[in-house]
This record gives sequence, C-alpha cells and structure tokens, in this order.
Amino acid sequence: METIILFAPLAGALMAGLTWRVISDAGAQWAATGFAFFAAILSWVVWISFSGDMQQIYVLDWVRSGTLDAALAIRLDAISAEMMVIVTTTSALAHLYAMGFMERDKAFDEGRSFRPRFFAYLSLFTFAMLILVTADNLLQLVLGLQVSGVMAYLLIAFRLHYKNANAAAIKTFVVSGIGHAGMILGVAGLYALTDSVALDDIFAALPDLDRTPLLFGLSGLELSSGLILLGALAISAQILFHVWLPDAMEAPAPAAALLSAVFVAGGAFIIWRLAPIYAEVRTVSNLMLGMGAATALIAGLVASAQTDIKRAMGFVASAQMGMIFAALGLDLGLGLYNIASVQIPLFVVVQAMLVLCVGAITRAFDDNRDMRGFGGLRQKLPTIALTMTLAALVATGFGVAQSSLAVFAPETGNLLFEFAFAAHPVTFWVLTAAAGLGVFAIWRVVFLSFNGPSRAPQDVFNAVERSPTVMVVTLAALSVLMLGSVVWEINTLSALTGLAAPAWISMSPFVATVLGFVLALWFYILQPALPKTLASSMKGLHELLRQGFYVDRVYELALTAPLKRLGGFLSDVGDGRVLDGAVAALSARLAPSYSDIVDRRFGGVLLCGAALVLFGLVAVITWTVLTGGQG
Amino acid sequence: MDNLLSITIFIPAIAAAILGIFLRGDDPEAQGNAKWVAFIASTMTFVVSLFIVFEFDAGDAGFQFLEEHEWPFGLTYKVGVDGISLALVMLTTFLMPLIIAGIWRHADRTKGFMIALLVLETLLLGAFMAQDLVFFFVFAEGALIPLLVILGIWGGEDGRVSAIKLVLYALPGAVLMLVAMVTMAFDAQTTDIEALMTHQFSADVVSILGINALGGVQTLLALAFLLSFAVKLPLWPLHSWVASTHMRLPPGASIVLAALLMKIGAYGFLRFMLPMFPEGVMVLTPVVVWLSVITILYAAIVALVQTDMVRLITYAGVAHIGFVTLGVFAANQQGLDGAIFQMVSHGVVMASLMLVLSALYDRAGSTEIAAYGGVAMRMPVLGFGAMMFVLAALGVPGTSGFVGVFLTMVGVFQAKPIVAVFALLGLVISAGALLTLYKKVVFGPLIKQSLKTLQDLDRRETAVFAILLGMILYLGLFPGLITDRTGATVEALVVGYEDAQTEALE
Repeated sequence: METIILFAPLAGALMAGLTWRVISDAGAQWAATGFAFFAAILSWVVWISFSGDMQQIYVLDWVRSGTLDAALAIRLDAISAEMMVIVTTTSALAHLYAMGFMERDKAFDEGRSFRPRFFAYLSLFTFAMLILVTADNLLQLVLGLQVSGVMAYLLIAFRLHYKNANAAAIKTFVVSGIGHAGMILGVAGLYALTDSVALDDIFAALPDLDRTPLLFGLSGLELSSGLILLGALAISAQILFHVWLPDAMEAPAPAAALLSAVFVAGGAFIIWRLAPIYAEVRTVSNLMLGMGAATALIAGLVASAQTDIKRAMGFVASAQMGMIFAALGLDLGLGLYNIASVQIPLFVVVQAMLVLCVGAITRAFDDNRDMRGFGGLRQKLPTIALTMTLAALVATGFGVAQSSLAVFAPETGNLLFEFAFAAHPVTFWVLTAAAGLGVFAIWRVVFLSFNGPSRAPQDVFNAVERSPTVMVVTLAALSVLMLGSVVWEINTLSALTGLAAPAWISMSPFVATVLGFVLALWFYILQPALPKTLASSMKGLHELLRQGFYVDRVYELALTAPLKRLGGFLSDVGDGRVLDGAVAALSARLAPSYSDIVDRRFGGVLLCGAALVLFGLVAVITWTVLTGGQG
Repeated sequence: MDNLLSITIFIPAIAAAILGIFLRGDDPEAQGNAKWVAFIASTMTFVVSLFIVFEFDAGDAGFQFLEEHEWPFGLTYKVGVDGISLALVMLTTFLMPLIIAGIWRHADRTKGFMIALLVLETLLLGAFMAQDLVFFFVFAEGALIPLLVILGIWGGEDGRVSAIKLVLYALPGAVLMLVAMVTMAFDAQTTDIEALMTHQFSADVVSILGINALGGVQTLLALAFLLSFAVKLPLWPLHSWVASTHMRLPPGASIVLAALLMKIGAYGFLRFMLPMFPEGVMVLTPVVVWLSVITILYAAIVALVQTDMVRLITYAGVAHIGFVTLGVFAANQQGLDGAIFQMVSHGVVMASLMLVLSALYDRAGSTEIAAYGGVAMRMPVLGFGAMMFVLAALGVPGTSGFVGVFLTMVGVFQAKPIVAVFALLGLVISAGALLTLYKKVVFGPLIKQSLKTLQDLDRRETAVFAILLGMILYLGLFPGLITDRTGATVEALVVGYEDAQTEALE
C-alpha cells in the first residue's frame, strides 16, 4: 500500500502531463486531483493502522559502488507515516483548490491549455516530497530534496514568460542548490565515517564514532551533520538562505502554499529524521537554535513592513519555521522529539491555509497584491475572512489553540521558552520578541485586508468577485484539519512536563502575543493613520525593514555582480587575450603562409592534418626501426 | 564470433569507403542516401556492439574479447575491452546514430560530412579498444584529422584559424605522448598495453637539470601523458581551443567532439596513468586535483557571461568534465566508478544539449542568446526536452548526472574533502549559467517576430530526444547498468594503485 501511495501522485502527474490532449483539460485536472486524494486517503489508513514497528519496503536498487549501496525503499515508521499524511493531504487539498483557482490565469490567453502542466507539476512535487519523507537512506533524502527543489523551480517559473517568475525560480534553484551541495558533502562525510548511507547503519554506528577534532576543533560527525543542516536551512528558508522564499511566492497561490508550507517543512523534517545524529552534536544543535531564533526575529520584523501580501506571507513562513528550528535546536539536546511531530503538521496546515486565503484575496482583486489598496474585504469575501481569521488565531496562539508560532502551552508551562531560558536568557528574549512580532505581522495582514474601509477605487472594489465554491470547500476542509491538529497538539504536549521555571518566564510569551495583537489592532483598526506617520518619521528604519535589511542587495553587490565581473574578465582577458592571444599570434602568422601555398578552401587545414599523419607515421617507423621490430 | 570487436570498429569505416567510392553528386537525393547509409551503418555498429555487452563477463576485471594479429614492420593489431573500455565503446555506438539522425537537416556537401563522421567513429572505437600503444596512438591522435578536415571545409573562413589553433594545442601533446610511449616501449620491450600494466617502471628519484624528480621516470612519463590528455579533456589552462573550435564546427562534428572525442583524455588517465605509473600519479595528484578544481570554477564562472549559446554550453561542459578528473585522481572505488559514470553521462547530456542548439539553429539560424526568447511558446516539446537535459547536466537526482557527480564527490571527499566543496560550488555556479540561458532562450515573452513562426520538433527529432532522455533517466534510476560492469575492473585498478602506494611509502 505504501508503494501505491508513493507512486499515485506520479501516475496523476503523468496522466495530466502526457495524456491531457486525450482526456481533455478538465480530465487532466481530475486525474491529478483524484490520484492525489487517493494517496491522501491511503496515507490516513496507513497512519491510523500503523503498528509502531518500523518496516522497510523495497522499491528499487539504485546507486551501488563498492560498499556504498543505496536502494530506494520506503521507511515506514512513526515519522514517515505522519509526514505522508501531512504531505498527501495538504497537497490533495491544494490540487482541489487549484481546480477553482486556475479557472483563469492572467498570464495565459483563454483557450491555451496551461492547466494540465500546472497540475502535473503539483503532482510531481507531491511525489518528490513523498520520496523525501519516506527515505530510508541519505541518498534518498538527497533525491527527494533535490527533485522537490526542481519542482519548486518549475512551479515558480510556471508563468514562464513573466520576468519576475523566472528570476525567482532561478534564485530558488541556486539558493537551494547551495543547500544541496552542503547536503551531498554531509552525506559523503557520514559515508566516510560509517561506511554506509543507510539510516539504520549510521544510527547504530553513532556511539562508536571517533570524536577527535578534524577541522576548526570540530569532529567529523559535527562537520558532516553541520553540512546536512545547511541543506535543511536552505530549503526551510532560514536566515541568509531565506531570500528565495518571498520571491518564490510569485508562484500561483496553490503552488505558493505548497512551497511555503510543505517544501519549507522539508528542512525541519530532515532534522527530525536525523534526530539521533543531532542529539549527539551539541555544537550543531546550538547553531540550529541560533539560526532559528535569528530567523524568527528578523523575518518577523521584515514581514511587518511588507506591502506585498504574498511577500509578507513568505517572511511569515520563514519566521514560523525559525521558531520550529529553535525548538528543534533546543529539543535535541533534551530528547523531546515529540515537539517536531506536532509542530510540523500544525505549521504546514496553518501556513497552507494562510497562503490559500491570500490567494483567494489576490484572485478576487485581479492579482493585485498591494495591501495598501485592500481593506473592507470582509463584506465582499465573508467566508475567506472567516477562515483566514481562524488560521490567524491558531497561528498566533489564541483561545484554546496552542500556536505553532508562539509554541506555548499553558498546561505544560511553555516548554520552548522555558528551555530557551535555560539555554541562554538572550535566546529567550529573542524568541519572546519574535513571538510578539510574528503575531503582529499576521494580524496586520488580516486587518489590512478585511477590516476598515476599502482603500481601493470604488469600481475595483465593486468588481471583487466571490471565490469559486471549490476553493471555499477546500478552505473549510483545511479548517477542520487545522482544528484537529490543534487538539492533537494539546494532547501530545500535555503529556510532556516542563521545567520548574519562574512564572514570569511562562507568562512572557503570552504577554508578547497579546502585545503583538493589541499593537496590530491599534495600528490598523483603531488608529489607521498611525503606521504611515510612524513610517515617515522613521524613514530609514522603515525602508531598511521593507527591503528586508537589504540582504538581496548585499548578495547582488557582494556575490552575483563580482562573479559576473570576474567571468567577464576571465572570458575577455584570461581566455581571450592571454591564452588565445598567444596562440592567435602564432596562428595568424602561420595562416597566411598556408593560404599562399594551398587552395583557398581548406588546404591549410588539410596540410596540418597531413603533417600530423606524416609526423605520426615517421615516428612510428623510427620507433619500429629503433626497437628492431621487437614490439 | 571471435572478431566481434574488429567488426564493431570497422563497420563505420567500411560504410565510409562505400560512400566515398559509390555515391556521386550532392543533390538532395544523394544527400539523403548518404545520410541513410551513415545512419544504417552506425545503427548496425550499435547493434553489433550490443553483443559485446551481452557476452561481457562483469565479474572479470581483465580484458575480454581479445584479438591479436601481427602486422608488417613488427606492428601488432591488438584489441580488447574491459569495464572501462566497454562503457565508452557503448557510449560511442549508442550516440553515433542519434547524432546522425539529429542533424538530418544537414545539406552542405553531406556525403563528405557523413564520411568524416563515420571515419571518426571508427577512430574513436579503435582508440577505446586498442590494446597496443602504437595502435592507440594512431587512432586517438588520428581522430583529430577528420576534425581538422571538417573545420576546414565546413568551418568557413574562421574555421581554418580555429584548425591551426587546435593543431597548435594538439601537436605538442601528441609529441609528448609519443616520446613517452617510445620510452615505455624501450623500457618494457613491449607495446602491449596488458603487459605494460604489469611492468614495473622505475620510480627511483632522477635528477634533471639539478631538479630531483620525485617518482622518477614514472613521474616524467605520467607528466607527458597528463599534458597530452589535459589538452583533449580539457583542463585549465589548456582549454581555450575548445570554445573556438566548437564555434566553427558544424553541429554534428561539435557534438562528436564534446560528447565523445574529449573523453579520450579521461580514458587515457584510466588506461595508462593510473595502472602504469601509480607512483608518478601520486606525485602529480595534488597538481591535477587543483587544476580540475580551477577548471570547474573557471569554466563555470566564464559560462555565466557568455552571449553565445554554443560557447556557454561548451564552457559548462568543460566545468562538468572537471568532475571526471577529480574522480579519477581520487583513485578509490567511488571516485573511479563515478568518473566513468560521469564520462558516459556527460557524453549523453552534452550530445543532447548540443542537439537542442542544433534544432534551434536549424530553425532560427543563430546561436546568439539574444536572438531568442519565449521559444517554449512555440516549441513546448523542445522546451521540455531542453529542461530535462539542463537538469541532467546540473546533476539533479533521477537523471544520470547525479550519479556521476555524487559518486565522484564521495570519492573525492574521502581523499580531500575541501576539494569537493569547491567542485560543488562550481556546479552551483554552472546552474546559474545554464538556467539563465534557459530562461533567456526558452522562457520569457515571445516578442521577436522571426520566432513567431517556429515549428516544434518534428517526429524524427522528437524520437531522437526521447531516446536520449530515456537513456538519461534510465541511467539515473538504474546506474547499475554501468557501475555493475565497471565494478570489477575498477576494483582491480584501485587495489593495484593502493598496493603501489603502500609500497612506495615503505
């Protein structure tokens, strides 16, 4: 059954992508969506009936070289059973949503069949993610990661004649490519250490590994796991690697939802999957914690200053993921892997829902994404407003919901923050501030979109149309799923015991959440003129945040541009003047003399060839004579 | 059939002779006939070569299907294949018919062109199967002659200059190799490659002009071979002939050059340097490894700024072949398996990419990137194929490219981790270059009036692309097709090399 789950999306993709001329445009959509739902239903069955014993289901022999043997197989255990449900369910719902969302697309003429391609990409992306989450060896992790990266590239470049879409796609490929490079190096390192790439072998070998420092005082295990972490950080859009995600939101909403939720969660999954390794390397988990906390804070800040609603959601995803990485980094030293098992599903479902709601808004607004032109949409899109508010509530941890963003659970005493404080007070304060900022950023989007008077021209506002039913149905289904995940999270977390921390530590994330919410309320509902005044009074700071601390610009100036200049220099001077120059000078001197002697067409060349042959023959004969024909 | 290898080698040459003697004229009908003869002959070669695969004993590390004939002047004709040869022989016979089918629109003195391609095939096959020094030299260096002829006839005015440039690069290399071979023959009293592999060349330190050469004669011989093969491969700084030659060669020939001919260099490393001069190789390894890293980074960075599709693809190809040398000089199982795999994969992928360029050139008559844009709108099939080929070139898993890159990197990592870091960095840079090329040519808005009437691939081209893509995916998912057959040979090579290494250190 697991094999069927794995290949169902591939079958859907092939049907949609290759046979759409036969089964029609609509048939292709139904085929892809049908297979996606089929996989999702089977995944639920597998998850619910999972016995608890790890199983390896062989699929095919893959790379074999010496002692390196990596077969493709499905590793069925608690982690992969759960991840399969997350991936297939979210993806099936994204397919369903896309059937409404892609009814029309501004980028393509009516009558041009662009939908089968989109659905094929969605299904292939699902297939790639399934390869990743069912991986039984490190090579398969790389396979899933890189193929899903390629699908991300294709989904982002779906509107293939849009300049921004193309630039964003290449950026995603290159940034995640750096992560993949790290991943490959890490895998090579672990293979060098343990002589295997199979997860079981590596986990078994961990206790006996040599811990002598190799480089910078780090052991081979620390270096390897750090390199693999690089791959996880890159696809999870953590700080320094986060630049691809806001741009990637350029993809059509169902794709953007899958990328910013499922794909981004892939990084956290890798850490979760390799948790036994990371539990052994304190330095690396500290790095994870630091990167996560920094991302949560910085991306939260930047998200609060975005005017493009989709970019804002991209930064929100980075920030939320930052919280999860911080949790993983803290967790691993303490052996509380359960946190990942509830945070990842909640993150995925909430993020997907937020982005799909945003997609419904931009679609209704004729692809306008500037929030300054929104407002008052509650009356036009009541169901979207309802679901998005619900998602925001869960994301920011209100009511009964335990947020994935501000991971606090009163019953258990706010685990993340207590551990953070125990690790280092600075981490605690950064995470608390980040929690507040994240809450502010999300509610800002909600309030700007749905509340207050409309800031759009009257005719545009009047033209806003309702979302297709199928999109609303999807969002309703996601809401149910989300609430289910919340209940499940509470159950799981309440089984954990926190530290005996002072009450103010347990309370502070709650206070930060309330502050973030109140601030958003104050800025965007009570005093809507305030943000503008504030922004103009602190122009420099506002611009700094709006541009995301100019990270893109810095990369452009410090990496891309110099690299291109170097390329130009090497091409013109290195190859051109120095290497070719010498040869050209010589051949220019030789060429005319040939031309004088021989036929205009190709005599010179033939002469060269003949010279070569002659030379060879002479040499061969000389040599035979010398050796006396003994050869 | 105990002369299977000879049959394989000489079918193309016989077809070339038939074409040369019997076919007259250059009208469309004669051109068609020439292409059909060439296509059928190369297909037959492929079919015959399949028998080599079927009967090949994967567990045997040595040479199989050996044929030996005494020729006048004490020359010996000796051919045989081991795992390494087999991979390259099959690559050659597999690609040739596809290349010929892929450039079917060729309509300029087609007969001569087909003869040149067929002769090239025979020379390449001979070089990959040769088990005698003289025979190898004549075939490997002789392969340049058809290339020079093609440059002269079909390369236009500048072709001649490129040809001379090529000769200037190739000739010193050939001389060095010849000198090395004569020395070897004197030392071992044989030109038989099998015998030479077991011959122990002196590794005592020798002094030349007051400089002590570590590894002695072995180092000097290895150096001579290295310089000769580094031109063909190419390695920085001996690469600058590649781009200019490719610019002038007509598509068919440039595909053969990029996909097959350049592999002779890497093949030479495996056939001569590693087994015959292990101690010399040990001395030279750091140099070669760093040259390979420079090649990868240099070519990838230069590719970023190219404005011509052919130049860009050529430079990217040079960057990706650096992985082969890295794998070879890592000299362990994964490195060598990976290097051989990467050679095959690189051959298939380069041929595919260049066929895409050729299909575009046939239609729009330019190789300038700026002449294109939005091609996918009119040519979705080409767009799809090109995407897959680019991904394969970038080593995405599921395609053949990944296995080569991954195994070489695992091999290199065990030998020298930092090198793998730089090499993969180069791969990322080349990703930027190739994807940008793809974006500018295939994606983007379709604005240019001249492109609005483009016709997508016809059935012939679609079939060629489909077969190439099928091979790329098959190798990507079932790499055992190659690694299982090279495994034994590589293992023996590694064991021999490591023994020599321990001996040298004692």
